[in-house]
Amino acid sequence: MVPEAQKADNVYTVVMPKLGLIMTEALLVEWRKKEGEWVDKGEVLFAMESDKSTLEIEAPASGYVHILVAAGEVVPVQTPICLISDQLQSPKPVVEQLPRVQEVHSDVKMLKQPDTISVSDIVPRVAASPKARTLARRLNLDLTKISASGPKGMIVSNDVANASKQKDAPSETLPLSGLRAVIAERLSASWRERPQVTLVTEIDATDLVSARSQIQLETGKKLSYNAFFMAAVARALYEHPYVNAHLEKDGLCRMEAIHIGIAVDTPRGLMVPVVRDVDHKGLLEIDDELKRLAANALEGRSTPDELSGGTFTITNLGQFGIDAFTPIINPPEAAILGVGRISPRPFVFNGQLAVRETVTLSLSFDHRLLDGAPAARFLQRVSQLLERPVLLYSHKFGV
Amino acid sequence: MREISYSEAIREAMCEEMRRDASVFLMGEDVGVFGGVWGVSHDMLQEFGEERVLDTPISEIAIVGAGLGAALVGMRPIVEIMFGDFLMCAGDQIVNQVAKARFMSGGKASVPLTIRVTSGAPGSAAAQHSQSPESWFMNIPGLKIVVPATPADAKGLLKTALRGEDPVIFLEHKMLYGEVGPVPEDPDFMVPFGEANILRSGKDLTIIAVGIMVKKALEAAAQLEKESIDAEVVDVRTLVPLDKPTLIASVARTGRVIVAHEAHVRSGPGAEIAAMLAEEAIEYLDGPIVRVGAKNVPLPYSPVLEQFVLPGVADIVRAARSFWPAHT
Repeated sequence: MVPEAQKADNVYTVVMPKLGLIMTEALLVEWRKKEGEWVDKGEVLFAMESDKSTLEIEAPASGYVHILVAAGEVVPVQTPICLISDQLQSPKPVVEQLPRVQEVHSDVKMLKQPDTISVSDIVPRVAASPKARTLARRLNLDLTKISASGPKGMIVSNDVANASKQKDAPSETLPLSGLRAVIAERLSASWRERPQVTLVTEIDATDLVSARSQIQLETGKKLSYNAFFMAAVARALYEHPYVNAHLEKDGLCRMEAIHIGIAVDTPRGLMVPVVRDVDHKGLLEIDDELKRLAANALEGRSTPDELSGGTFTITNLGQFGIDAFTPIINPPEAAILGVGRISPRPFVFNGQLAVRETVTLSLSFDHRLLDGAPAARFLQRVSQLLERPVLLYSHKFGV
Repeated sequence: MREISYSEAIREAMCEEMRRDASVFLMGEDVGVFGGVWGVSHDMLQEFGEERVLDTPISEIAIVGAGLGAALVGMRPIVEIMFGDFLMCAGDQIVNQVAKARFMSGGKASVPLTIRVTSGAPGSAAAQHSQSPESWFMNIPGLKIVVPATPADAKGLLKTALRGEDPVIFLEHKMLYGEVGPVPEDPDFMVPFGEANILRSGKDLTIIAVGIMVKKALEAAAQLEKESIDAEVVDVRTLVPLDKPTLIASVARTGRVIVAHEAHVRSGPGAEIAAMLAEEAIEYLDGPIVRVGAKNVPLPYSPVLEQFVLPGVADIVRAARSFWPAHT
């Protein structure tokens, strides 16, 4: 059948055909006739591509081709794309006065199977019983993804029920919440893109435990160990600025500010609130800030600013009885410090075996940014600072 | 309960009502001396006499017209039309007079006329003596259309017709006359119009059957049971009025429906039932509504061709299997 192209003064307007109920636009892949070239009715005039397939469209009339839309453009369906005229000269742009042209369902051919096309190949249609449709709607299942067992290839309610069971069977599949999805994406990227190496060291934390008690005696405040770790890391970063870096697309970016994130386990998942300018803050101030940010994160009140901009991250699993682990870098940062449980352990102290409070520190670093030795130096410095916590009480570095 | 034939059940209903009510009488071709060409009214002439069991001339329009006139003046006539195929001879009386008298008289006149008609194919009776004419009249408001499938229903539905105030076309399938079944002896046993009968409960499929196809549907259901298809069989009993709630409720339970009748498929009773279900029960349908009926050609004389054209148990079974393509 020839499509009913609109004819006016021996000019036919060819439009981008609508080949499916939901098709709104299509890519004009290629003109098979040049501007001004003669086309016979039934010859392939152009190729188009919809979201479903690539199709060749035949000319609805014979005449000289006058192209209105260049190949490579995506145009809405029913847009006039060329005129077929009995005149070699391009006709006046009559397009606007012309009524829209009929759909041309029957004049399309699949490129791969030119002889076996029917309307059902073009118009997407899911054969499903009314009951199946109702059920699928209620269960929020996509009928196009359900296999049919009913008469004439029809999806029946049992098919929908089975699809639902399959969906539910192995485990409850919950859609990734926004946060979970972000965590998944970031950690995958971190793991995929970064050659990560973890350095591990056990340090004597006896003086750290003692310092914390002394501060409590002096101020009445029970500081979080994380405040000490953060202060130590800040000072070490200040002294080893190559660790306080991001790898950006255009190169290594040394961060001036020292903003340290702390991993917080919340009901919604892992959050990393960031204490800003830690190098300018004293222990008590860091501790206040940590507690405030952690509370906000736990209650879901964190502002986006509180959760972004970190240059280094600390993650502490000591409270869960973990001694050591290999943390994954929080991109785009260069390293992350994992802190284990502080606990009395047998330890060689002053040449003798003694029971000392110890903690294992694990530093994972991006080996593209840091060599092993500088990273080790950084961790060594963090260790020193924690073993000599008196150094942390002042926030004036270099004292 | 004692068992009698469908034919005896009809005779019993007529006799009981004629004994009970003097305004009830029977007339038709050969209903008196001959006892009815199908023997239904045998010996009724002897009991009720020529005044109440009348042999008529061979004129359907006269028979129905006389019945109409008698009904309008207070009688409760039963008229017998020997073959449903001949109803068209009385077409104007039925369609334009009988069906419309109450409406055209502003409700002043009623026509309590029962038109007993034999229907269906008795085997090689050919195209003019084998038809199932129920849907011809379903399009005419004002008529009730009754299609008994069992002896008990034949008696109970006929008594409801005879005690009612409306014109009724009462279709007796010729091949059911010999069917024997339990029939209550209670002289007031009546089966109300508009109440379909679920003869077999099932969860997979509803077979809505009309007249003789009820029996075939039950046979088909027994076969399908062996294939683990659990079919429900519903006897409509009356096409007008149609028991929509029962039919819809059954389809809601099973999701699949076959409508089976001996009338031709095209515009047969199944067309109306299918359309009603599509309008009022579409959300329950889990597949197409499938009709089983006579093929759309005049019924042949040749037994081989007749069997080919008429719907049978195998047609219902085949239609049922079509809902589970992988199953077969």
